[in-house]
Amino acid sequence: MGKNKNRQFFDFSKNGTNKAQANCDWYKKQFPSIQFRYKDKYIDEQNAIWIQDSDIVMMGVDNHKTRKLASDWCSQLPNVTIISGGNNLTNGDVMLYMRRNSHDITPPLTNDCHPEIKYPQDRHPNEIGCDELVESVPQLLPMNLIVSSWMVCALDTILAIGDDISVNNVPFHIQYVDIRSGASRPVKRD
Amino acid sequence: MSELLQGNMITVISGANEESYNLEDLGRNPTVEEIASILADVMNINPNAKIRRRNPDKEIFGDMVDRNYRPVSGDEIEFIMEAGDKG
Repeated sequence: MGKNKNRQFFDFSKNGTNKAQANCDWYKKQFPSIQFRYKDKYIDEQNAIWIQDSDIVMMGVDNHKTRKLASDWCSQLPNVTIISGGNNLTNGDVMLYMRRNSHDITPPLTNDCHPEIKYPQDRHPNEIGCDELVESVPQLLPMNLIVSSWMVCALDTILAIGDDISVNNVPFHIQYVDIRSGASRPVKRD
Repeated sequence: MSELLQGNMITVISGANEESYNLEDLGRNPTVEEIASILADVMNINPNAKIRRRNPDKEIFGDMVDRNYRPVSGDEIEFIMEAGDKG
């Protein structure tokens, strides 16, 4: 059912339901006029093709291998937006990778500032055996909420700018947040 | 006199946080590695972080430096925080 079951809001009344399907079913009930589809597999080298030209990818994965995989796949697409959120216990970040007309307007997630993504040392979920016990690391709800909120803020800004988005007006390359100091800092890497 | 009092100020950045420090308070001509060790807990610095230097007055706008680099006045030293590994 997923190691983070106690942090999920959707309906678990159907025990054993795939998390993506359960989430999809919940959203369909809440927003019947919007089309939702789910994929019951982790994204990997074979199915990354699901991400297509002009897609916007809201990515909240918990491993750098998947981040690299998505970034590498998207680097081949003429137009794409990845909004990738991640956090530690009390700090986190939202990274943007955007391409327009086959040009990077923000750096890929695998840029030289982030060797942890460029050369990931962790494991893809498909590399973890079904019977392997995976310990769920503690997380704080406000940290999850603020990162997801910044992801939605980024999406809203990108949609508001629309087709005029460029290297000069992209809101940030990475937004850092810290819930202990109360600080947030947008960064554009030269 | 005010210029003398300002001393050798640098800015240290890690993730969302940035603070200004007088270089002399961080040691005798310290390296960035030594600065990271001193400020590790206060600024949540990863000892393996990549380090980036900006100094607009010297027209430096994002050079990566190694751990033995010794900051100069006006430097903005960022210890680049790794992407959060939880989702």
